[in-house]
Amino acid sequence: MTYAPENDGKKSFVLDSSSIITIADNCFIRVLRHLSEKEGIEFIIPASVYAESVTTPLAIKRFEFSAVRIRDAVEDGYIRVAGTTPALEGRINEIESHTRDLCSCSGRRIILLQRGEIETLALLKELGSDVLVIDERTTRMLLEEPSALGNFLRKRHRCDVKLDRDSLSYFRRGFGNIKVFRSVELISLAYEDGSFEKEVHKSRQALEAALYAAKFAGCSVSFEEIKKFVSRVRG
Amino acid sequence: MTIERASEDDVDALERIISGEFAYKGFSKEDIFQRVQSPEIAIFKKIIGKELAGFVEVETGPQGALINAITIREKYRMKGHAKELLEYALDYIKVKGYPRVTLLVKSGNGRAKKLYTLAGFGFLGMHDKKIEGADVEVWEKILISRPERDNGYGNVA
Repeated sequence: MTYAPENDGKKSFVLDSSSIITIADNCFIRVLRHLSEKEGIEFIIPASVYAESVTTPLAIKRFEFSAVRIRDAVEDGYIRVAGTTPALEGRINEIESHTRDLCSCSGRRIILLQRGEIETLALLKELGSDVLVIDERTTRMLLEEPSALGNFLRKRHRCDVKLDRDSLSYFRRGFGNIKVFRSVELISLAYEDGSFEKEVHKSRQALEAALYAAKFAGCSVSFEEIKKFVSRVRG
Repeated sequence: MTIERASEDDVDALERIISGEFAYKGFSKEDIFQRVQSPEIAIFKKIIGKELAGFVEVETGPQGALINAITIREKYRMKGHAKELLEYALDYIKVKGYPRVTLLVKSGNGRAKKLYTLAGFGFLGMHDKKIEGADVEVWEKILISRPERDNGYGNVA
């Protein structure tokens, strides 16, 4: 008998590569430590995300510093890397099989979810986790607004994109109720609970600058949303 | 036969086992109730028929992952239930990303040591306190090994 998911009362946030790299690139990795200590949040990544965000970039000078920051966070224990279990492998295989036929363009298969995203989703379910933190837009749309995904992909690929109904329904049933955060939401949360101040003085300007930095690092957030984030906070 | 998370409804059954097997802890029902509710503690129970046959208690937090207790009621022993509970607990700890897990075992408890050895645990050192007058050992299992890193002197640590 293998471990079956149950939410254990702790707040578990599962991060994919896109979000953790944005956070590390902008020197906000230690904000996660403060959030973890203050809010009792567990930050967990799957093994493939560790490989994508640490092991591989450690050998590339341009990305090495971010990789070192993430590795240090793992060594300090406020980001943990999930181990593989048979149950987790089973979930990965299941999601992978539904991903295979999810999307096609003029009869040719398009792979929408990469290994890191598949493992992130599998881990999320295995932990019975509260929140997925992901900046990558396609996966977020698949989970949050699958009805808009077709049009988005048609524009992006400029072809007659078809989405498989059964696969879409699988993702809606399995992941329709999860909370999806982006790095910008984590930054806003850190701003509101005071964790942000451990890195920079608290000011609207600092928040706005941090949100723009996240946007330009690849987080899918509009200028309008940034305005809203900034206007919502006090001080 | 199932293994699932113990809830507030299991406090009476847990207390019956704990007051026998772990009497030295002196846990009241209220203590057990609080442990069941604690976000840092997970108690997984083994159900056979409608009976709570045993449990494993896991504690996770900034201090790491610990297996605080594992026990099976006398009449269900020697049937592999403890091994199942232990494996279940190890999967729980592993998927939460804890790289190692420790537990305490009395030096004279050969049966428990055999179970832990078969599960991949090894002796780490002596515990600094005795339990019920007995010497206690700390055992450890590495769940996830990380690649070695440069130690700053051009070598890997």
